[in-house]
Amino acid sequence: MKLGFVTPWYGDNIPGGAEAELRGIVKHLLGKAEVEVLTTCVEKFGSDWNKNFHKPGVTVESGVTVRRFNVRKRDTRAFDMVNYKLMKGLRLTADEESTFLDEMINSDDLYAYMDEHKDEYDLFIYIPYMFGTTYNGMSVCPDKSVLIPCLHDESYIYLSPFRELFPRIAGMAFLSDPEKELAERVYDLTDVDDRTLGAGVNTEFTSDAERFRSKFGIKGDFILYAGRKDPGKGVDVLLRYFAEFKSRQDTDLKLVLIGGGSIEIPKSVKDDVIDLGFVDVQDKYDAYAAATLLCQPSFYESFSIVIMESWLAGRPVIVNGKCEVTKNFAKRSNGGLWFENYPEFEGTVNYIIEHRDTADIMGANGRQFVLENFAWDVITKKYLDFFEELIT
Amino acid sequence: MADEKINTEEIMEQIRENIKSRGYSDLDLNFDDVTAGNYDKYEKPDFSLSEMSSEVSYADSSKCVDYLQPMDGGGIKLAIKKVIRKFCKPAVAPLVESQNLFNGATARALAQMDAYITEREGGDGGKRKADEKEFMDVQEKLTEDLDTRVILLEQKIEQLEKKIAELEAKG
Repeated sequence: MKLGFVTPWYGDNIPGGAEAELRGIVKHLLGKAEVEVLTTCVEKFGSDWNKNFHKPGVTVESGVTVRRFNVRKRDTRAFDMVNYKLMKGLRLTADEESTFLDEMINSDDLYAYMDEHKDEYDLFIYIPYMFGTTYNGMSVCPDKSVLIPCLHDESYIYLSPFRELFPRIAGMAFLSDPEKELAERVYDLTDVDDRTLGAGVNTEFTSDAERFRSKFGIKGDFILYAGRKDPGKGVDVLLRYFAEFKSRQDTDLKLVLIGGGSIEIPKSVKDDVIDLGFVDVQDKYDAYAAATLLCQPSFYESFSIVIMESWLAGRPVIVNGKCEVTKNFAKRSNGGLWFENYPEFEGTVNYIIEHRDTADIMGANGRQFVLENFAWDVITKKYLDFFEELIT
Repeated sequence: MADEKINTEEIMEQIRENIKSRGYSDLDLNFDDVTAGNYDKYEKPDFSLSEMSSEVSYADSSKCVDYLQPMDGGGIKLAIKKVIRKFCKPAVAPLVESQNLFNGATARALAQMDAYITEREGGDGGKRKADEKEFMDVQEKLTEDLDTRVILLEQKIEQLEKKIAELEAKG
């Protein structure tokens, strides 16, 4: 079985959730299938999409064969104008939709290669959905295309070119059931083999709560937020809820933030919010174990590795109840609670603090849920079975 | 431990009951402004030069509204739409022109503000970098001086130790 994974950029150390997921899938499939990554010479999402950072050609990176192609020059300004409208939720005309797909990251050399060599590959797998390499790559041979879309309910998913192409591809793999339900609402997937497979999680790490507490001098209960400090991730709401919580409750509870980005911390809780910024991976694992609970306030998550890691460290989570994906995980696993407003935030935090034994059971439930569903050996087998069924 | 059964939906029900029994509700507490997800409505944004430039750029490209918008459909429906548009033109076209004049003036004013802020940011940034470089140069020189003094002091100590050893040998 020869599989070509098509993605706009690839690298061992580039950031991004979809990028990490692809690396994981590809590396775990090595030795079980013939795997290649087909990508452009652009370095990463945050780079200039007109700049060929890597040399075109074939390299082997951490055992993975990577075939890179030069990008096509794009009209950045035209793209930005259309993208602006999409970000503001405005409708696009048919011409603007074409501009969006034509002027984002694309590689004519990649599409020509795929067209010429498509018979050598059993399947092409694309991740994520919105990039030019995915849309135009899938257009080369939809019947051999499998999409791992990483969908959120955002304006991009409603573009009519996607609605026309996606019903014609061979398969779609989702990270969660709510993501699959969303796709089935938006696209006609009657003839597409679509399944929830989940995402792979590293389950092999260890964590030490005391090591974290002594290294960073943190005592007592604390809520952990792990992720980018960006309003789009809901951390601003968490900070305001935490400030409100502290003003209403006589408690020493702290909020510990780990991850990049910056956000203004309300003055009233300056001493109770500990922003550690970027920390080592081991410190992050230790932080999960030391925390009373992990809070994932984000609205838009297609999976959320951090709640899985918190569960693996044995700690419960509270999540934004308006995010169907994380709420679904918390419900299914019985590993966490959810909040949609301040009173529920206060209620869930207090419940976990006041019911230590139940909180430990939630953590253990979550851990069991991750091991059964998202350990890499489980995920790899699901993907292999899926691909084999599609081919036969 | 995972064998002990708990049901998080039931726990959530308990929590909600508790909120109700305490008379806690969104409205009573006036927490509309901190409800998860209402970022656009209530968020006072931090200043971001790149976001401002992107907004100004969009304002500039979309300042002209065209009275003649493309129409969907065909046949009799399209013909009726065209007749309605023709009838409305005397009333709507002057409004569109006035709006375009206003849009143009606003977009130009915003572009001026953007240029002004960009210039200032560049200037301040440049000055800050120069200050930082000067500070680092001074620190480097001080470190070098200290290194030299340490070496000299170590040599002196060595000489003194030798002298002491000689004196001790002489008795």
